[in-house]
Amino acid sequence: MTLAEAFVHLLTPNGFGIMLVGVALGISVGVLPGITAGMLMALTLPFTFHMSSVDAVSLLTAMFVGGVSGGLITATLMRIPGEPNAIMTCLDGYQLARRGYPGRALGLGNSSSLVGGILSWAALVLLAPPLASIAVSFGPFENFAVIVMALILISSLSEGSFLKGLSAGLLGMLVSYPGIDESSGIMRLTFGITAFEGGFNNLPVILGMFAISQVVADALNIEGQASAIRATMRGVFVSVRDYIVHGWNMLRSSLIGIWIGILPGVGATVASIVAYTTAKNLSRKPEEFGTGSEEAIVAAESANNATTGGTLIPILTLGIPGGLTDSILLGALVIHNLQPGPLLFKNNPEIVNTIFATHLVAHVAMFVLMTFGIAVFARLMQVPRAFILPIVIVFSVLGAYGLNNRPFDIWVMLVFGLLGVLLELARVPLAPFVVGLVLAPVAESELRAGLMASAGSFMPLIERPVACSMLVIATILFVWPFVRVWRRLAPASRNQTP
Amino acid sequence: MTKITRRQALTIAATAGAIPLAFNGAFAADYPEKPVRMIVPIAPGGQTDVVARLLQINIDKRKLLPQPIVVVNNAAAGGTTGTRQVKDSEADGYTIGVFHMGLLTAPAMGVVDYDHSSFEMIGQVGRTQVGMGALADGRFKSIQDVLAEAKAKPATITVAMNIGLLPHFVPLMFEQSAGVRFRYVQSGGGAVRLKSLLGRHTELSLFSGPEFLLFRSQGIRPLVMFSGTRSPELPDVPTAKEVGANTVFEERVIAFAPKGTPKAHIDVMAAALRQAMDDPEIIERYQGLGIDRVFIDGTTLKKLLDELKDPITKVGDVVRKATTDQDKK
Repeated sequence: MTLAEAFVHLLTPNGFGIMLVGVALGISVGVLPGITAGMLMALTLPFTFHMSSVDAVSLLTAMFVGGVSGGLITATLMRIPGEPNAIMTCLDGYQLARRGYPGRALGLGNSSSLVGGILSWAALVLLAPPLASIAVSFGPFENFAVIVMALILISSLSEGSFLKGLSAGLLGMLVSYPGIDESSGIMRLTFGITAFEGGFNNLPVILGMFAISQVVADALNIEGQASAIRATMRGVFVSVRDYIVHGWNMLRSSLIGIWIGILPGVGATVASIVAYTTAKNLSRKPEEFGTGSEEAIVAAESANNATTGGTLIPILTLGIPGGLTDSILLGALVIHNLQPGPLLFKNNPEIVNTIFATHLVAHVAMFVLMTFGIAVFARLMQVPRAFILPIVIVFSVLGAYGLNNRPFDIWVMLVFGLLGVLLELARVPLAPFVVGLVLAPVAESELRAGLMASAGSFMPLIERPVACSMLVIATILFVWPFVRVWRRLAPASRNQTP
Repeated sequence: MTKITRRQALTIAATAGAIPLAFNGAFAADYPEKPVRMIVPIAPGGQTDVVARLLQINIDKRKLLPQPIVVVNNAAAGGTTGTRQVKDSEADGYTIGVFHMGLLTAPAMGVVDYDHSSFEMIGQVGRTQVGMGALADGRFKSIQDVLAEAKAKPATITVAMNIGLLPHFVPLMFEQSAGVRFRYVQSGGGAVRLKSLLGRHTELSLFSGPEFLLFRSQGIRPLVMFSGTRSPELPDVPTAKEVGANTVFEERVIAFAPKGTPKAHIDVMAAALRQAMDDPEIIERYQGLGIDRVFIDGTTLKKLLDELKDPITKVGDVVRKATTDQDKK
């Protein structure tokens, strides 16, 4: 089956139906806080045993695409991320919606998702082998340097107090430590409590910090909220001019998303955070970020959808999964007696082409479904919150429990919900917390792996050109915000002192 | 009132379900009367998970048990949360586990305080051979090359491993019996270790037989296998015994139940698993996955694991000592 035939297959009633069901289910779990695309795919995996291999990978790929996209709706309308990767969309999407433009916010997010998806598809189809070989040449020291670069962005993420942002980042790192130490295989910081051995999983922590805390905040303020937003659906359709105005931002954020998607263990959440902060640093109006900036929505939503193509590159070319969703896709291949890796292109081109075709068509289907869905979902804005909040809690609890089938994760979510409320009250930004939480373990394991290989020497960080240049860029990124503040203040003080 | 009705309804339903089976003559005992939970302490899609699900689906499809089996994945903490869940479950036959040799390596690493003897063994439902390999166009063409270099320059050859699991333990056992030392680098699962070799970030790694067949096209050459005799799929690769190191080790997929589960229930479950393994469809699937379809009953399996316990614990002590020494530095 060639790529063209794979596209044709997706237009047959059977092929189209399966793809559409996948996208629709993916968007639905994306909208529901707590239930992630990964869980949907894990639940679907056993059913795919009985399907043909082409249908199975098409269904799972479509779910993957839909799941990444749906989160933006809940994030924009309720300031609750439907998927963890929508946390940055919460910041500005919700503010823009509150100002009376929910249609515009959702339309921009949806269009950016489509652009991010299509660009990552192009990278997947045209550049998969070279990109994969670059990824392979990245060893522990290079990976560590890249992660440090992303971690440094914490410094420019903190609205207001730099110290508060930094402490949130460090707190996130601390939360990632308890449990099994991936580099030495022994338990640490468990305080003898066996439940701590599994550590604090990212999902329940992020759900707590963003969903539960928002529910609590809303519940405290339930009368004030109802009449606050008058929704107008104008702006759902984005004009050509918007694509031109935001074009560079979409391209840049998509490239960030594609590359972060290729990196193992990082994922869409970090991609949207990195794209957001990069957009903020390069923006002419950085002060608008956090108050409903269009640039912010575009950056976050282009980037998280762009990871979908990036993530598929190492699975298809090398058979290396980066996260839960791709290990499930990999599992589906194995179950159908298919060997992931470079031979897949030769032995089973129908599978590769089906994944390619589904990835593109599912993005278009996602865009259409979301455009219609937005009008329906936006009505939720008028439904009294008292009816919606309990539903959010139910699905969050389900999601936290469903991750590993252990009740402890529900408690983790509730406790971090409380912490989220406290941090919000103290005006501590939560995004740096997530950056620390997600990236600290990756940075740590990469650095320690590198040190094991070099027998404890840090020299490769300087000797290896890629690692070294990444660290130099990281240093510049770290210093840049200070320079900018200094440059803005310097002329002012000169004027004042004649 | 409602309660009674519901119970009656359940009884009727259960009886109705049991009648055709009773006629079938397959089941004398009344176990299982409700669905059996099968805890798989790894993420969906991994080899152990695939084996567990293949068997579960086959048992359900062919009605080898009167009740369905429900697979529950609990991958937290490298599988220890899942095995603990099995251990702490009621020993009534309605919770079982399917895991791999992590059952022995976890206690050796000191991350759990129980081993295979804290469970009832149902049986081994699959086995894969393991060996060490390197890049075909790298500097090692044979295991003799590796051993010579390791003797000349101890602890310089890097081995990509997955800490606390077989890719860590088996090379350690091998170096002990061959009298050499390697330098271990934490990497991850099979595909991640493959990437590490391909990027020339490390030089050697443990892979399973099926992985070798899969990775051959990417330029990985098996150098030594740790099975008792040469593998029929890899006839050119010497065993460790042939190069003078007495390391014999295989990865096993193990079905187990909480301590104290009635023997009768264990037997029913073992029989169902064994019947599933003899199905032509499963035979084909195992072949495709490269898994040896060798069933070993609980008693024999326990004896086998008892024998492996000692060498694994010894290796674990070495690992733990190295870690604490590092912390002291």
